[in-house]
Amino acid sequence: MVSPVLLSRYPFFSFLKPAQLREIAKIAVEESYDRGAILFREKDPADAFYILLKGSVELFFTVEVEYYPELSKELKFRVIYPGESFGISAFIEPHKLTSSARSTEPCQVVKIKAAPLLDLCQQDDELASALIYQVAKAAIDRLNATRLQLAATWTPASTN
Amino acid sequence: MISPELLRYYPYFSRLDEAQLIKVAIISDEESFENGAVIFQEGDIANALYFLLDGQVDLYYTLAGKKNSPLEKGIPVGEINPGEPFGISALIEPYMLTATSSVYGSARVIKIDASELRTMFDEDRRLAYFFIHQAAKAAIERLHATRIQLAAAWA
Repeated sequence: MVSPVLLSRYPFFSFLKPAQLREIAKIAVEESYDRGAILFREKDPADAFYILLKGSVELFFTVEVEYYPELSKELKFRVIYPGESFGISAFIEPHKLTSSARSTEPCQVVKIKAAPLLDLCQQDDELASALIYQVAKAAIDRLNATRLQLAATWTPASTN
Repeated sequence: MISPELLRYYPYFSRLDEAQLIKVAIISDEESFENGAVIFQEGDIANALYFLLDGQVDLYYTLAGKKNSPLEKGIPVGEINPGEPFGISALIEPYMLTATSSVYGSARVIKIDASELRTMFDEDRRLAYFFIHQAAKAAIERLHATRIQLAAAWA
């Protein structure tokens, strides 16, 4: 369990009522990771949602070349900073992770197991709609940031 | 207004009950577009949620509003197929469109008034959850596809 006050400081949960925060705090745990630790891997079941308290975490995926594993390449496309959430696929079917996460320095996170969190959402429509709103907002923000990264790689000739 | 029967035909709306289907049908219109038509422009206010019935709609990212943008034509950042929503920014603040949508071939769409829909969300949390969950799902799928495009560009 973590302190409900701790959760209320983060934008993702700041809109929740005290009773809702208490319920989520009961199923949340604080975890620490050393530099270089893998928090989760792409394609694994998305069974937890995270908020970064301290440190930094990079999101990446591996591009594999069929029959040529030596050509596999790791693509780091985003760094998560304190206060940001990650693992949002935990809220969305098929609940499968679309990237891997690795700490780039010692870090501390709040980890919330997806199954009990989704159970709470089943019992509380207001909580469910408020949380899914934050998930959608985070996804759209990330989509925009990724489009901007893509635009930076684009040359005018590519548009012809 | 459209017929609730039209909505019922698509699996996308299958989790809505009868009363919800009627409420959504009342604030919806059906529209058709020809090849090349721009349904909405990046940077504009997102005042409607769209659902593609037939045809194809392509999304382009143009960096609208940025002076001297090299992306006059825009980067293709997604393809909407029948049965999929688009204009999902209409459900999420600041309600601003993040891509331009252009018709390829032809397209028949359902246009749902976003302001009316958001008002309904205040009274019906399950309806809110349904639409926003579908928007989040579409955004995550598009995010994944864009990351693959980015990986190809970096390779």
